[in-house]
Amino acid sequence: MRSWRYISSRIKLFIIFLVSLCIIQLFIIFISAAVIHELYKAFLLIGVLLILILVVFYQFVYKPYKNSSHLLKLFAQGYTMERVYDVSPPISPEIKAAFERFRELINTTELINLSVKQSQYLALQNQINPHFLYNTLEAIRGEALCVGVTSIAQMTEALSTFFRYTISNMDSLVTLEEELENIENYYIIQQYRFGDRLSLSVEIDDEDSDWILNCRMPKLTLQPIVENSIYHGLEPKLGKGNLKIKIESTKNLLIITVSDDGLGFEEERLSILNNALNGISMDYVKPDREKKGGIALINVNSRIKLLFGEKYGLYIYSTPGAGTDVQITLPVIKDAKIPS
Amino acid sequence: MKSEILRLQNVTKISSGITLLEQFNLNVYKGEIMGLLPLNTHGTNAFLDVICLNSPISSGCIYFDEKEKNYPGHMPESPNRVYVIDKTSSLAGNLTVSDNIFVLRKGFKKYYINDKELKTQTKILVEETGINIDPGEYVDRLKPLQCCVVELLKGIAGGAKLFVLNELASFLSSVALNQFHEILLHYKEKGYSFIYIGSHHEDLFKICDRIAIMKNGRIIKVLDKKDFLYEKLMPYILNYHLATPSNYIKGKTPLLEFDNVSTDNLNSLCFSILQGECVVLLDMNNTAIGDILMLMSGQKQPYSGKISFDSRPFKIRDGKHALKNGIAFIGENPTKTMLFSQMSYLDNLCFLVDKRDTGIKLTPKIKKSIKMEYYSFCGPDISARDISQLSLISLYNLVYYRIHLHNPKLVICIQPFSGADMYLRKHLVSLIDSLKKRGMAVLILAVNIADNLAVANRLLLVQKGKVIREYKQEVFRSIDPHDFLIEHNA
Repeated sequence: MRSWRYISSRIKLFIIFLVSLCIIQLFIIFISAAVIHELYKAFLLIGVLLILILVVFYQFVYKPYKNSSHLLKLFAQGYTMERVYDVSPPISPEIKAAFERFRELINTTELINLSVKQSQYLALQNQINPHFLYNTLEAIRGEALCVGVTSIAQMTEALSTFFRYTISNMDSLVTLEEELENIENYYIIQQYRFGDRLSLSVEIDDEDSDWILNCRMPKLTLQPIVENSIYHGLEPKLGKGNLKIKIESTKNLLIITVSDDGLGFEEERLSILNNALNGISMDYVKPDREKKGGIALINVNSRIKLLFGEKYGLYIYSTPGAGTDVQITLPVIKDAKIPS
Repeated sequence: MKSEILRLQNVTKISSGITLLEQFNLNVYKGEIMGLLPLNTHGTNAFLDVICLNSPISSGCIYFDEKEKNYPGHMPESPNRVYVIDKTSSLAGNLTVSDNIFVLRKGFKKYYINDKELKTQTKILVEETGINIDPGEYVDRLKPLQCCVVELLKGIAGGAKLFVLNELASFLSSVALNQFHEILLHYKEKGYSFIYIGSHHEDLFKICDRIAIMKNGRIIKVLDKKDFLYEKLMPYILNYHLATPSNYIKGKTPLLEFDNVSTDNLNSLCFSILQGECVVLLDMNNTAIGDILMLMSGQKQPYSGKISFDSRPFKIRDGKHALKNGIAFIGENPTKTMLFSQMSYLDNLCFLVDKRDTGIKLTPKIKKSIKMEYYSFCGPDISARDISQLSLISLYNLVYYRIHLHNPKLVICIQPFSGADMYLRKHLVSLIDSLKKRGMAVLILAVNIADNLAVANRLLLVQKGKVIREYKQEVFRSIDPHDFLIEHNA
């Protein structure tokens, strides 16, 4: 009985009542037409008219209403954000206006800024994370003692370049080449920790490599994913771990797949993560340390979706014991300016 | 620059409360052969519906030829330009090749059909494939490979851009499959795209550019060509291929012996099978199987040579008497052809038991006794009244345990693994093993090698009706069956 609170339920009941009335009417008309032969043509005409009314009602009222209701349901479940504004035909001028206002209120730019700040925060958190610093400096010290000076220089350079890239201007899009250079630096740093246990390879279509490398994307799109693969996939794994970045492109899409042969996710966890990635979520802003494993991925995904639209973003393939592939789908963009 | 012909992005399809596709992601490039390896059958039909007919989806988005074609709440205008080639041909058997290609297609509006012109156009298309097909030939008379080629050409003539090739290995022989692969590579170069669905990774490794592994209606991994290695695939599949076939061979006198048997499609065929042995007869041309079946069911007599069964000349009047003579057949897709849906599980299980040996009457007491005996094999399903509610594995149990109950001397299985998903194939291996264990000889007639090695004690390669090579079980033991398959396929 709680559904009585909704006007839609009341309208539904009213319509059911009307349709039932029509059907009873039709039944009476056809019986009457069979009995009163003189008027059967008139009765049949009324009957046909009633059927026509029902068909028109179904086609022009019921079906669009169902579509709108379905879209609103998808919006509520987090599957879509943009399509809810395109409900066609709108339920009423007032509801349409309300949605327009709603659209204005959800200022996408605000969300983007929040997302950028969050990614910077995560990056900074890594810099000041004592564990991260300890491991890195320990590796530098060990290297200095055992090998000599050149490697220290190389490592320090990689570290400073990485820090500089991370905290520099976040207001414009960077090229894929710059992102890959940052990954290269990050890999050099990580190599001092993991040594031969970690290997990285980058695959790009030879034919279009220059064109692909000049495609633009939000800064720090790849690094959090690579970091995630190393820490959650490869670090706990016994033996050697391989990391692969594969880049493919069509004239409209840039598809980047970051693969590792690490531990992989359990099916349940994978499903939760992919569900979270399917919509736009601001959950990662909440300071929940237990969820840290997926925060970086959700952050990158949300930034991509907010900047470029729902059809872009991340998807994870993973099997326990086999590894994880994170697929990033981006639009092909050559302009450095962040789209508004 | 690559371009996409198909993209399914986070597609979820729920029908009658069942999630058929769940966050399904797949992209196919133009001029690519994309393999699809379904580990189970869940969602494969829904996938075909969605990409061919743009059937409604619950969430996600589908792009065809880089255009958004289907999303929730959207009424698609037209089906996509996708053509499906599978075992069930969509050709009209009593029409000619040229009629099938040009007349039976959407948009053909000519009132007067110029037969000569159609044949000329068909000839041009057919010549491109390098396969000899007469444009005026009736489709009924074509061989499976020729049918596939005609279907491909029909799709091309109809404007299809993407072809779905569903389980080709289950109806094309190895030789025909290799020929068809050559044709696919030719059209791939011309920019046509293909989704090659197959339950056996060995087939997909041969031809595909990438392979998507599908499980429970979602893609769990996409493998690139350079990752086409068994080691890379192992975490995703069941590794029953590596099992050595069990050995229950008894005696040295052959139970069944073909001695220089010749028919229309057999050319001095010689082979024998011992009690408890499993022999796989791999027909490379898909011509010999039919004749062997006809000989064994009494529908045909050899032109020359002799067949002995149980140390006596083999004589059988017709298939009805095969069981009395100790021979049972398990056809392809037996759950559809060997079971009676209106009969209970137990009635199906006991079917023809009283015909096996004269003098046995199937009384309720005997049925009860059978029920008790087979409960350990079939489980609680044995009490089922309506078998249509049972799982596929349970139905296969019913088919194989019926044969187990009949206890014939020889069981002839026709393509037992055809169309079965990975879990079912593993189960079938154990069912065939249970027949061998009971002392039955099992003769498997197949056109595809995959999986048969898991049960075979010997493998015979038959080409043009003659055994050209024999592999013993020791060969499978000494090298990994998977390596053997790769070697053979190469």
